[in-house]
Amino acid sequence: MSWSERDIRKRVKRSERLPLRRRLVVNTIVILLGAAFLFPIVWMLIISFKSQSQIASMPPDVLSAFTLENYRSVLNIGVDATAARAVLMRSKSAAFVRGLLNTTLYAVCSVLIAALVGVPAAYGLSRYRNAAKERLAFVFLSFRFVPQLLIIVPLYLVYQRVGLYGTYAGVTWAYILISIPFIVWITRSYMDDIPFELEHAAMLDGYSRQATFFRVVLPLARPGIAAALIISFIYAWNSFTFGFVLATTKLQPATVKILTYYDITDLHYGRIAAAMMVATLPMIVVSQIASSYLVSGLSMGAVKR
Amino acid sequence: MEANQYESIDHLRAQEQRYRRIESTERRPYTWIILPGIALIILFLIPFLWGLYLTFTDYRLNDPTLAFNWGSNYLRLLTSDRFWRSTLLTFCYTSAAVSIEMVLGYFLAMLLDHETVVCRIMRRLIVVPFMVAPIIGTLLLKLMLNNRFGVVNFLLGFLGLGDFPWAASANTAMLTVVLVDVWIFTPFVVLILLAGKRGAPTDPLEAAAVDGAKQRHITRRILIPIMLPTILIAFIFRIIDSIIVFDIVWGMTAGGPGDATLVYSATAYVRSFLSLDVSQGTAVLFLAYLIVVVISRQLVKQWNAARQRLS
Repeated sequence: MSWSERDIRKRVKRSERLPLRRRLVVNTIVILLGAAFLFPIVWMLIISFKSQSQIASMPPDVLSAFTLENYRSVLNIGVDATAARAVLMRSKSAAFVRGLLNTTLYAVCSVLIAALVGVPAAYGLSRYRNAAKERLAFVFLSFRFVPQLLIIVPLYLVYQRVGLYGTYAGVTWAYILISIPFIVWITRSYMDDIPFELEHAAMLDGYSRQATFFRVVLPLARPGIAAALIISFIYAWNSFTFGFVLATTKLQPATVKILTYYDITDLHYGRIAAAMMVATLPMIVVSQIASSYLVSGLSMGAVKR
Repeated sequence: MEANQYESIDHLRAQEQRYRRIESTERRPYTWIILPGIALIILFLIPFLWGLYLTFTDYRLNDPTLAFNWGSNYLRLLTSDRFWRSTLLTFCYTSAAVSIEMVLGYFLAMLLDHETVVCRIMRRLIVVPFMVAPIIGTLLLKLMLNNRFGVVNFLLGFLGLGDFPWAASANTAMLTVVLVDVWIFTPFVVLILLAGKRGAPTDPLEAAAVDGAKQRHITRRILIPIMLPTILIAFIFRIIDSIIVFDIVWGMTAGGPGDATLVYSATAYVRSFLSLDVSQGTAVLFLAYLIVVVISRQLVKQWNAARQRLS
């Protein structure tokens, strides 16, 4: 009897599989715990497709008649605004859409600025030989540990003096504080792994210092930079405190705008859930696409992929 | 003559020194690269230091005096019951949330490391609660944990617990915010520990198993030491973030009911913007930051030691 390679592989694979009982136990616990963790998300998803009366009924009507009304209302698309309440709702929705745009603007701009400053700084901190280097690097990291309110209060007072309060630049500037520690630390930890000899060799071959940086170091540090950009983008998108204190109504990000839907007199569950979905979905998509970068970003580059 | 020169140790030393000098000057140009970063630090350091100065004045939002008062804010804080109460609450929050997250996260990470279809799917999906902004997650759970209309109490009704008060009662408010923290940040711990487990070398584990070591001993003596750096990383970030937590507590209870959940950041917000007493509020945060720095220093030291031990 001759065994083909495929047969052998199949057999090896089967022998490596867990015994049935153990697999059953593992799967059951994972499904139970996973259901507990995902339940709120699933609930938000379902609610966002339901009308108010369906949600309010007891027991909640979960499985029939889905509607896109909440999303239309939140995103301000094709809403018939004649009744006074609808007009009010409409202005709220317009504000929310504006909040989404604000969030995007803050996240993108702050991450880009932080990257423009942070990546070269990380390179310097990785290569430069100086006793102050580690201390300097720790200052960058300690930004991650500062209570955000601690910076916001003085920043708020400074802004009111220099006229930055109530401007996009002012809020974006505060957001940089979120991105910079991620970018400097993660990129640096990846650059530390690139041997200096490689650059030396490139320079001996006639590359200028700049060319070495762009042609040798940047491509090799790319996974680190990607992880840093993604994680700081996620944190900036999800940030609440800066926008909550430093932004005027016009400038508030979506995370703050959500609060306006918590109206005691007219608590519309479906609309709240739809707004939350809209604000969250981009990050869920990012996390699924870039899942391999997430971990090294989250651990500040301590865990490399 | 020449051979002699090369053999002389002094000559070699001199050569080495010259080489070092060349290398260090060669590396000096990196300074200009760090400059924008330093500029950025200074621009953030100014508000930080100004905030520090404010804590030594009687500055209020409605009364901007800037006279130095020799730390009477700190004195008043350290002798006030409210500050110690908020220290206690922060300690409760941090210890409860972090310990649950670490244990549950470790347990879940070990489970998810199995190669079954369910685990493979869950490994991708577990990140989702963490991708929801903390404030949004909090508001979502606030809807679900409403003691009268919330879906959770509807489900608990089948167990006869349908009127569990959650955030509405001072006794259970802390439990509720901790629960929210656990829901949002356990996936964070799971992700990091899972990466640590999968990045760990399997040879020592297998060798121990072949030698007939008990699973319990393998975990305690080999797996945990190997994973210690990753465990510490997750621990450091969780402990720091929960000491300075603001959005979860603010979104869920705004520090209430009464002062049941007035942790440091919530206290600081109430003092600064509702009582308009900026100097006191900022002083609370500086004390919190001091605690964070001390703890993180210690833990980072531990982390370095754990890494050294492995290599």
